Amino acid sequence: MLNRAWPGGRLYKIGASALALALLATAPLYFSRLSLLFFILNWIVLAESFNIFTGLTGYVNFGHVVFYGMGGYVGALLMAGALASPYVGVLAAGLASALLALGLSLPTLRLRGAYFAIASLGVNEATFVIFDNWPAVGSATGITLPVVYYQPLAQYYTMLAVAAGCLATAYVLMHSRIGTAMQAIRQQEDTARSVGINATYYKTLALIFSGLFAGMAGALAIWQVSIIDPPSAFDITISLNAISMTMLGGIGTLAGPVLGAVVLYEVGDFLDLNYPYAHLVVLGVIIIGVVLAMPRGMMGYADRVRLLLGGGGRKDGGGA
Amino acid sequence: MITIGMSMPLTGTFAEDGQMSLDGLQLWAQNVNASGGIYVSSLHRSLPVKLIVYDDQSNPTRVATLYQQLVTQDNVNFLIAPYASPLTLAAAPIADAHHILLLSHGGASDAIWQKNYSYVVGVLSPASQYMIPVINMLVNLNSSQPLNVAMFYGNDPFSIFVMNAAARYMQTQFPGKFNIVFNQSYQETATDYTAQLTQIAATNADVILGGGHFTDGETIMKNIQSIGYNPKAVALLVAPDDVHFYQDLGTVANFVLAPSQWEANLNYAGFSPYFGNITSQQFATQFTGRFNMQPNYEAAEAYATGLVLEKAIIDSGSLNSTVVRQQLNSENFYTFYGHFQIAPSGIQIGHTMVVVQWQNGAKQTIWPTSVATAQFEYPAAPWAGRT
Repeated sequence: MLNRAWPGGRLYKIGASALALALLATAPLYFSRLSLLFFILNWIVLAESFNIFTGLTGYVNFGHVVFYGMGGYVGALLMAGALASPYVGVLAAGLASALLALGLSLPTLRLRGAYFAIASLGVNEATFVIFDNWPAVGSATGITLPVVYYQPLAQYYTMLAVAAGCLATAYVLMHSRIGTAMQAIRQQEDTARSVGINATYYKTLALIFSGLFAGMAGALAIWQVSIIDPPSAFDITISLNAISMTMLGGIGTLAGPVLGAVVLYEVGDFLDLNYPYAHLVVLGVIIIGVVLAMPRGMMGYADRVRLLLGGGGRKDGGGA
Repeated sequence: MITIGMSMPLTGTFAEDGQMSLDGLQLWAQNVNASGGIYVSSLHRSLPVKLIVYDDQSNPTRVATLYQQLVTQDNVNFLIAPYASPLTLAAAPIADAHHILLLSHGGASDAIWQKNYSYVVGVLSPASQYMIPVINMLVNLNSSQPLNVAMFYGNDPFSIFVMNAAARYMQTQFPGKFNIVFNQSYQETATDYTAQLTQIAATNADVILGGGHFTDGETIMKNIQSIGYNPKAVALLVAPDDVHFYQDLGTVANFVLAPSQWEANLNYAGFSPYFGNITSQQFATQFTGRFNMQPNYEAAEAYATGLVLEKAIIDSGSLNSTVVRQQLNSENFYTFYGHFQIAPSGIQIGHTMVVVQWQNGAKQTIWPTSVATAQFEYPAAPWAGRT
């Protein structure tokens, strides 16, 4: 992230990241509601993995939750059947969702723009119906985990590791030739193709990374809540939340989905705890207000503030 | 102050019954506090109760984080589970890990008690029990021929569990009494079941057992009538228990059966001293007065859950979850909602379901005979003879 107006910016960002990681790593020592941090990290991974595909390539994936649900089921099957340790389960879930992403990319990534978005909705519905009627995965009843899998500390640290891995991957993608190629596709796919960028390859690659991390997030969530069934695994509001968080924070940026997830989940949680009978109404009003005030998300807004203060803008900010 | 924590699905899929359950609990808390609170003998005084309530949006991941909030930040004395089985299953590991009693009033799945939790206690009859009284009642007809039974039920965890248990019960307890001639689940979002019902009619089934939720239950009855099929009895889950069932269907609703956890005309006080100093009729009147609507059994079982907690606190004289949980093992009493007694796993074994039947536009309790307000009308009158 080049920032001419702020030479110390890079160092500052590394320092801030290290501090955040240190605070999160020691959180169990001073914060007892670990599940709150767990789910904030879970949402960060969901939003950032959505951003890896949609933010970079510009293709809106309304079926992002399919990777999450698939990962949840793979993790649940392995854990409930005592076939693998939870760590292996989480990893296998990620790989399964990455494989699913590869499989889905073949038919769907031939579609452009709105047609891809519509197809992704269809994939979501189809997956739900399959799992709802498939006896091997418990059909409508779903799967519950035995009580031995309630391990809050192990769950938390695995979640933290996956979140760190997801952000590191997103960073590397965004600051490599691969990321540049993906952004070229987002801005002008035909032009990108004409200069020799293999658009299908890069889109597929982005979707595979997107699926990998969403799948791991799904398995981690199931490890934590100990039950999975089709309505909660393939709930479209999970996709919509990931989209809202990404848009709120700033799509296409590394920090945007992180900010969006933290703010939206934490504000939502705060409102639920304090106004349980009206929290969704208040949250809705806040979201509308923020979107009106910051149409390019919080990262875009930060850029505008910096510009007003006489600094330079971001090289890779905003977009889509 | 005795603090009792819970999340309820106040929005999302389970919102309607979540609100009903919360209303039932709030009425209980209001009545307890109006009478001076609960006497805790180890503290030598009565304490008022305070409910701490959050909205889990019918979402298991929210349940997981809210119950940790209740246990670690709010430091509640006791927990009450959210309405519905999947949400109860998400709350149970947290309650158990922190040794806080979790009372389930709306999570019927037997799976909740098959995971060796020590602190999870059910007040309602588990799913496996729902169709049992209907089957007992049919056996009681003493027909000379085995009854042909068609099982036709919603593809959801609850209905599947109920019907699998019903099939097992018929086969193991009454061999030779029932022939299961049809056994299929359906998508509850479908708007027409005439194809499957025509198949069922062709099997000559005497009885249809099944259903799922509200809309599908109504559709099944409309379809049965439209194809002119005349089963001798139809017992459906959930839908016929709702007063809207008759309002929507009129005379088509007559003769239809449903299992129920509780009815406003039930009076258990006659056969045992009961706890809580409130009758079913009083509960229904107070509830309607406060919330301006008829309570369903979800509201009653939530109120009764408050009564169960109250009695275990009084009898043990403690606010310690481990002590109160221990006390519940030896409790054996009646509330207006019915019998309370648990197995060591915490599953409810005392409470029994009743069977209701629509008769001339009135919902009557017909089984067990000790609480019946009318006789079982069987077989159903042919469609031609109904006005």
